Amino acid sequence: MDMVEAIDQAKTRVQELCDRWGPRVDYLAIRLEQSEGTDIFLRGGQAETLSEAIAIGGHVRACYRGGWGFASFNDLESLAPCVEAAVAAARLVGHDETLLAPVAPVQVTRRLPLTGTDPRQISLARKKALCNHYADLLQGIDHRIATTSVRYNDVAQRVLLATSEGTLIDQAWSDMEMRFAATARDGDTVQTGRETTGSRKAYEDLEDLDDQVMGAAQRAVAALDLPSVRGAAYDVVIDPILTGLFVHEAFGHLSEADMAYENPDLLESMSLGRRFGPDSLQIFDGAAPQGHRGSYFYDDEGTPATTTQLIENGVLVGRLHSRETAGKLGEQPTGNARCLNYHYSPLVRMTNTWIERGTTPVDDLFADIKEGVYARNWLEGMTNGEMFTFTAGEAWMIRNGKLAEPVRDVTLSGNVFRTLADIEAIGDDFYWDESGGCGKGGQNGLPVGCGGPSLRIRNVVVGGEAEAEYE
Amino acid sequence: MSDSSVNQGRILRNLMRLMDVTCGHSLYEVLPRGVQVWLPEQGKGVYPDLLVVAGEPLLHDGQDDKLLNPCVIFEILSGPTPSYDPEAAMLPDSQRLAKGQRSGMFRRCRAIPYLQTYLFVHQTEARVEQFYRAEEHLWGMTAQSGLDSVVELAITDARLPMMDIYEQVDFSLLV
Repeated sequence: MDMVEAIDQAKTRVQELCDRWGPRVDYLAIRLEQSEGTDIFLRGGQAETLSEAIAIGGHVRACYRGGWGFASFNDLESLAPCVEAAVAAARLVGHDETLLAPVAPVQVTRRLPLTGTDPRQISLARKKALCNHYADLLQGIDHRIATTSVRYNDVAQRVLLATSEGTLIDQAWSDMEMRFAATARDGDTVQTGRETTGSRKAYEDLEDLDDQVMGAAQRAVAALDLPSVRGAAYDVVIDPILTGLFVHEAFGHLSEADMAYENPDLLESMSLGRRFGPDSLQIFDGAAPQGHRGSYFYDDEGTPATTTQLIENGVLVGRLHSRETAGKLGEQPTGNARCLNYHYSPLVRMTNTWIERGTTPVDDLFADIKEGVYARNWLEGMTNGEMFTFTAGEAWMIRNGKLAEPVRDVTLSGNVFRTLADIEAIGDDFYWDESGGCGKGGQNGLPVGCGGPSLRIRNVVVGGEAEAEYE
Repeated sequence: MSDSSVNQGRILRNLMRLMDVTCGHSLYEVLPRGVQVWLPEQGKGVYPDLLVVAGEPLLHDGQDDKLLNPCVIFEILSGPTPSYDPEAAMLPDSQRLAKGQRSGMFRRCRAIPYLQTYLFVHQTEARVEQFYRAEEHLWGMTAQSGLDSVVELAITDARLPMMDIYEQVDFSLLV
């Protein structure tokens, strides 16, 4: 049966099941999903993966007296038995109170608008040709390029969510991503350059990336001959991509209310009203702004997308919620419950996370820095609670307020709270990094957007090697 | 790990036993020290203390002494090694070495696309640090200390009680 048809026909059935089984529990949700995707991976120009796949499946979540039952299936015939199983499981484990923040039931059909070509209308051969073109560009930069990789993914998802509260949401979007890497080798020295991009708007966003792609290989080659930075604490200027990484990885995950709810120490350090940074610091997360990797209309619990201010004038004012964390903490749901696909239950996840543009002209961020570091893009990161280490994609020394010689092996480390407090100036530039790919609780590769301006941060620990502080 | 101490040998034996029981079934294969993991981009290999392969071993150019696809690697630390310390990053190399630097194997192995988790097992105290791949190029870290805790591997669903990892290990022995 055609999948579109399958979902359409299932609409009535899921509503009937919700009506029939809903009264046995406090909350019942059925989520059906159909997806159609492409996956291409070239290593050294050779295709290691080349696939197009269509999938259909769903899951059922039931909540009874605070206990959850979950069942997933990949065959619509199993829908009814799964509802029964999830309801039975919830009734078995529920011994407390169901606390779900209320949301108004809605019946709606929404399609995330494309501004260009839908990737489903592009042939696999043309997508592969694009990958080959980029692989050739990477390889052709220099004879010291030892290996290259190009990955292409797209997926078109249609999700139907029905709940015992009367919600019926039919939502769809297309998501695309490309990742490029080049590794250069000279004797024992190995250096990597990377670029990533994504879109929820148009296949065209992945074309004409020649300069960006070549940049990855050029950085890898250039870094072979660069000196390592001397490890020390420096005043640092970071570019918008590193700002986006920092706000997502170092700060954003701590704003996810499930993390705080499960960890009383974190809940304490993430007390609303606590000052984290300068007056000029504003941090947001939200799926409501359209056109980014983390944009949607409703989350996977049927809560409408919002924009949540997390930090206002340097002070913590909000956090990200599912209906359950909002209910338990007595706060408003924010529409941040997302699941990677039907195999998983929704978790509190970020969507598009950004630091708002500031007022300092970018050139002025460097002024007065006698000896510092300017870091752009990133290669690798590590996080451990409040602590983070990010390896810059490329970096220069700053001397007497000016950009000086390039250096390599620049890792930026610190405690997120101390680092936020050490933000000295916020640039007047801004960039959305659509490279996405957030991981949490085994649900990795969730599309997100990260944005921000360039930042000047004082007293950042800069190490000469990525693992220095962990190893 | 070379020239093992008795305690290192005990930890390795315990890990081998635990891992084989908890995840050495059809999906995963547990391989002991001596198997070379090949890093094609770096043109060299490393020898982890213990590794796990998901599915079939993938070999570099078909050579059966060059494994490409470990998903879990254990490194048993040879001496007293400092735990996570943000300030240590500021130290010059010589001072870091003096504080007991690790082998650098983790840094090299992070390039293995199949690798999902890398565990450091201390031998002078009951402490295991697990680095897991949270995103393609982003690693998270969890640490367990004390004999009453349990290490839950980020993949394979293995749960390793510290009591069992350190069975018969004598922390009073000098290394």
